[in-house]
Amino acid sequence: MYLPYMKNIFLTTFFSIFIGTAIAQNTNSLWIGLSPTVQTTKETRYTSTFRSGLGYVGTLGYSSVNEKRTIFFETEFTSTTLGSSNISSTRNLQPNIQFSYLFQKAEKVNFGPDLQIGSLLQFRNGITSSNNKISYLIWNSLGLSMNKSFLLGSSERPIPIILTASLPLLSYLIRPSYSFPFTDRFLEQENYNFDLDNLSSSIIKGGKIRTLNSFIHLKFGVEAYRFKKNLGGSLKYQFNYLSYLKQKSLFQFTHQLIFTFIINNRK
Amino acid sequence: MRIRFLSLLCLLFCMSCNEDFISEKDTPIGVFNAMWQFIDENYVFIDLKNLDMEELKNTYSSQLSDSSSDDELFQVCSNLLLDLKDGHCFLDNGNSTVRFDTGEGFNSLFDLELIKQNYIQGEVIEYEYITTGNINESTGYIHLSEFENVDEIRKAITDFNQLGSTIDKIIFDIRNNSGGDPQIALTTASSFMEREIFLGQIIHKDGKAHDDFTDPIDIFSEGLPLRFEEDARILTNRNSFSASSYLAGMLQHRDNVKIIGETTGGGGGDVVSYELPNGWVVAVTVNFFLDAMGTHIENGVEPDISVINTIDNIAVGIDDILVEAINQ
Repeated sequence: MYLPYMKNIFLTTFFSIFIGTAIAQNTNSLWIGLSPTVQTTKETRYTSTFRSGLGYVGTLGYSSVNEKRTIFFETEFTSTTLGSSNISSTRNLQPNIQFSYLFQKAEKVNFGPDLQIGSLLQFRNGITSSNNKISYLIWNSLGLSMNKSFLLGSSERPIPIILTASLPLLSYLIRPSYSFPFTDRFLEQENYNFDLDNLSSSIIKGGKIRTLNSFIHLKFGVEAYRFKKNLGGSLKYQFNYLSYLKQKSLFQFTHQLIFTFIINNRK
Repeated sequence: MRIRFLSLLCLLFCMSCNEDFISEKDTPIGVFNAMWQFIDENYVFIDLKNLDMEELKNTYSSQLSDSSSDDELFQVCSNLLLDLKDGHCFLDNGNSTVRFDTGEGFNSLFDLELIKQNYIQGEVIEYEYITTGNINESTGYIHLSEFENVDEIRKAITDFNQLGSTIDKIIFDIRNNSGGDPQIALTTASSFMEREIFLGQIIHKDGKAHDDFTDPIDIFSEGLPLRFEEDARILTNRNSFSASSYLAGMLQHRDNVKIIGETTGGGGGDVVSYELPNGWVVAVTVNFFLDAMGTHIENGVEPDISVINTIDNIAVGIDDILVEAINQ
């Protein structure tokens, strides 16, 4: 079960780096999208198996492209319900903000730093007398992002295609402690009561620095555009792989087919 | 350069191989193994209760095969859970929930109607979780059915304090109180104390080994301006569970408090739950409370004065535990 997924990850990373050629330059774009998403998650804090389900993803983004660099900013919100049993279903809410500053390293190849702030918030349904009704992974990541663009189809009506990939290298991660819904930091308070005193500060301060060997959040996308004057649309397939590998681990695969409405402002 | 980068990625992905990635199968043996492993890695009282987890695994897994029915599997998994002898732990298959009964084998006779009719003089005030009134001119009575609403407790304190010097003893009855929010138990315990004092410690599980625990975390009373000014008698029985045991444990050894009745039902911790491969849910205790003397309350808090209600006396309207509290 593990190897096929790993194969996919390697292939998508490889293609994102080596394939592609061109897209419009000197353009500012604003886009909004809403689409279905399929998600599979295994959160070992409360389950022994992978659970799959459907949901939706909403995106709002902005990019500015010229000959030397690409600035990319996107907010994304995913909501899914996993599992169908009345005692074992989970609602996942997943907001993510991504900012990339990409330099043109070769013809139509952009490569640069990537900053992401996001979280996976999990709310379990049907469980009343339990201390882990919620679980979460909150990340603040610094990594690398790249894109490659090219034209597909006939020379008369080519379809611009862009391949994107991002991977955090260093992250500040916030997870619940081994057996408690709050962070280790919350438990380290000298004076403890059962209430939520100082919870917010303990969560913010309660993170730990993690590298790629314990936190992986790979995003890969293939996007095809159509424009008429400055208005257009795109269809994007996005694959996300998320894993956290310390103590109680977490794995997630997300497939999204995102329909986007785009407003371009050519300079 | 690219090849190096890909090689690095390859290396890091290989490092990320994790046994948690492989899920237990939805077979009777797979479900049992997932439940056993969850208990083994998370249950906090394995050493305290001298549980031999390997022996339990061998005993119960030998009763299963891949052709075992759901009913047979549920029975075997229930037996494993009941061997923990912990009223907090449960197994839920969507239709029924199995939980150890800490009151099993105890009479724990208690009748609130009897107290209202035979002992409370004058008006009986009833809130959702509290029943209160006066036993006599100098003794007030409060029964708390669950630790769910701190405002009701504050209201009861205010009511008694407004009576001024006529009341000098509060009988605080937590018999048949199955627990609730431990924070409200802490607030209630603080209501019997003049200042902030050390009440005990909480210790959490923080790893897979049976003895992987956090350092103890101290708990102090809240130093509330609103508090009972009278001496207290806390009435307990075997059905005083969880947050009730916390309260009894926090109030033990206080000069102005006496605990009267039966040993409480224990339940000194919180649970986390876990989905098994077939969708059933199992929950186990993952932290525990030690009282100010460092004593576990999991097996119950012993009273200062041990009294048991008898069937004969209850039948003729006499609550021996309450009578002892009135006379003390």
